[in-house]
Amino acid sequence: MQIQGNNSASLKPKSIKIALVGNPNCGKTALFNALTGSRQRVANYAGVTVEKKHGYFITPKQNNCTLIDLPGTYSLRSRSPDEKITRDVVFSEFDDEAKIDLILCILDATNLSNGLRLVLELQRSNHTIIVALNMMDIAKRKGYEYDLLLLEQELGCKVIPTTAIKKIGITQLVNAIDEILPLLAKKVNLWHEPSVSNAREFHAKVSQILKKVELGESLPPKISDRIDHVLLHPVAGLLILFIVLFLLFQSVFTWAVIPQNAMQDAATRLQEYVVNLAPGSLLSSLLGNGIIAGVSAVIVFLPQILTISLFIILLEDSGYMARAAFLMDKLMGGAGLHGRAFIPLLSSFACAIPGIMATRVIENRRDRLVTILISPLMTCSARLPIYTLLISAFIPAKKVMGWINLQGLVMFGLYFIGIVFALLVAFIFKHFFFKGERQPSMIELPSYKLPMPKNVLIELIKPAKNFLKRAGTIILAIMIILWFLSTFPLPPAHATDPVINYSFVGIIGKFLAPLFAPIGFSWQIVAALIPGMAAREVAVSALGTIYALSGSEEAIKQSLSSTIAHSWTIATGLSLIAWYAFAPQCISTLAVAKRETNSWKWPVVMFSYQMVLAYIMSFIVYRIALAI
Amino acid sequence: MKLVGLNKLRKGDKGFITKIDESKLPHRFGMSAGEVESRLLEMGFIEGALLQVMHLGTIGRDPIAVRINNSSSIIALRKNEASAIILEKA
Repeated sequence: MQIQGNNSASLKPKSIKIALVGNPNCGKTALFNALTGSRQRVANYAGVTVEKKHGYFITPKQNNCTLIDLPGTYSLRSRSPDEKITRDVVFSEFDDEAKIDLILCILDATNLSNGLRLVLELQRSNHTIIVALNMMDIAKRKGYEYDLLLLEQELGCKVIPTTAIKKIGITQLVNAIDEILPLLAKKVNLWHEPSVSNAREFHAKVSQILKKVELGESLPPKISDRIDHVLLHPVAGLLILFIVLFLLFQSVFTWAVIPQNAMQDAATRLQEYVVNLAPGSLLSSLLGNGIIAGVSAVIVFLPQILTISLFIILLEDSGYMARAAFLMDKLMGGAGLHGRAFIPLLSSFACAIPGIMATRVIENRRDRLVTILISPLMTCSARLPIYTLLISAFIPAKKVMGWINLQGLVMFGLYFIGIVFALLVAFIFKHFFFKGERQPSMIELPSYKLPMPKNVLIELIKPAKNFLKRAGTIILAIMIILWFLSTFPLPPAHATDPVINYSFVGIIGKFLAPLFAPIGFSWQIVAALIPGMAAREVAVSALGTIYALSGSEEAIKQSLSSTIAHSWTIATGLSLIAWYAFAPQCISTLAVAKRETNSWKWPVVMFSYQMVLAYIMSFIVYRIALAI
Repeated sequence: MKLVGLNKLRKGDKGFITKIDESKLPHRFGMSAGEVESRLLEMGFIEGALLQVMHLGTIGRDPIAVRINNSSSIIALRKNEASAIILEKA
């Protein structure tokens, strides 16, 4: 309902859209955070993996500004769908993107020529530009000095010196925005894809400008160079990198698991309590086994996500991430992976969820997609309970060559085979599906900086919030669906078998059983795989339920081990082990893949190739085991 | 005057860029003509610029990290693309 619509509309403050553009590593995120604080919203652009980051601030003159953070770039030339984002926003080619009013171009004062070329290119667009000359503190220390008035004259636009990370110059920048807004004039868009000769013209113009405005004599960054002397050393550098990676692995695999287990235990107790409030009641079962189990399945990932995110932010902000990529480039490149892919892959050993979220460190879309697709092949920690159960039931605890424990050897082999197949699948995807799309890979190694705690905190909250909001809702919904499938239809009045055997899970298990007979799975196994989709470790308790075992988790594991050792053949056991190494067994992984790639296509590809691979491998293992 | 590709330089070597020459690329990997040259120009590799090799990768001296014109940051690129950068050794 509108009351005197005309009046209220005219009172409404004007809403201004500003695009934030700049080279990589020029402090763009810090400026974005300094201007907008926590008033940010993250979404995805349609069809690409790039995040649409919007922030809001109000200027002293009450202009409501929306700041659109764009990926770091050296040019508006579009080279891939993801890199096209900046250009599309600048030229307002998105339907949902109202025309931007202003471009805020941020430059690194210690590396002005790259930034100035971008300014020259942006000036060919139809927008007015304000330049934030950032990292002024470091620039001053290193002897860079500029005649800012002359620079403004040469560029024909406002230049504000800032040190975004310390919030210096932000007030001046906001005031400059206020001053320029009434003066915005319509311009004609003269931009076209710059040719190589255009690029050389920009270079020439920039060196002319720099000759005039540069006052001081700059020094190369001595401290940074000295650190690099050690950290990029062909031998010592690699050693240090492996120590860093080991720490990362430890923290995700061991330390993050402590709060995770505590949360899991608390949730389980709460779940049992709620279910026992009214035993046999559907409502308490839905609350306990459906909703509480579902919510806890979501939040237990938080400690790992926060840990891995903290590592990544520190590595990125300090400048070490680019060095790590440099050191790993050749190794990862052999499998067609990006140098930065090692962080997501390593964390996938703990859990594919933080691993897939960590693929954000890879800018290139194809490299990122391949890394996401192979991350579930890394043996995650959730597979350990089921591996332990199956290995203790089917692999004899004997020594090989006198001193190697056979059970341990099989466990190691499972880890190893995961890595080998991940690299193999990456190679296949790269060479058959993304063929001929290679891009020349160049990265900037920025000088080292100390991460700022406040900035780290702002960046740390983002992935956690994102995960809870986007992937969490999908996971919760699926958990409730799974509860429904394993509860209904209710068993007949005088049923003797466990409830689950009469449910949809049991029905589906029996229905699908013929399909899995060639790889040796009974209908009970197939049925257990369905609730197992919620989380791999759930399969153990699902098997327990199906075989009507009761007692504590430990007791179930004990008796389950002997039950399955008796009722399954060794070939079936080995086949199931192989299945678990390759099969898509985790809804949460698929949900996160959907969220991160912003499309159902890639989780479907992931699910399908894993399914096919698992079936083939289990078939081979089953047939060989039968033959022996 | 001795011209060499950036891919041939050792750690610490310096030189001025005389030419960006895509015909010297060992592998094109389906990259379209002008793409490597454009990319190099965008990253600051331009005729006349002074390069210094700062670091080399452990395996096969690949990738190569160079400083351009005493800039504060360093650019790392693969040997393949470095072959297109022709230098006059200083």
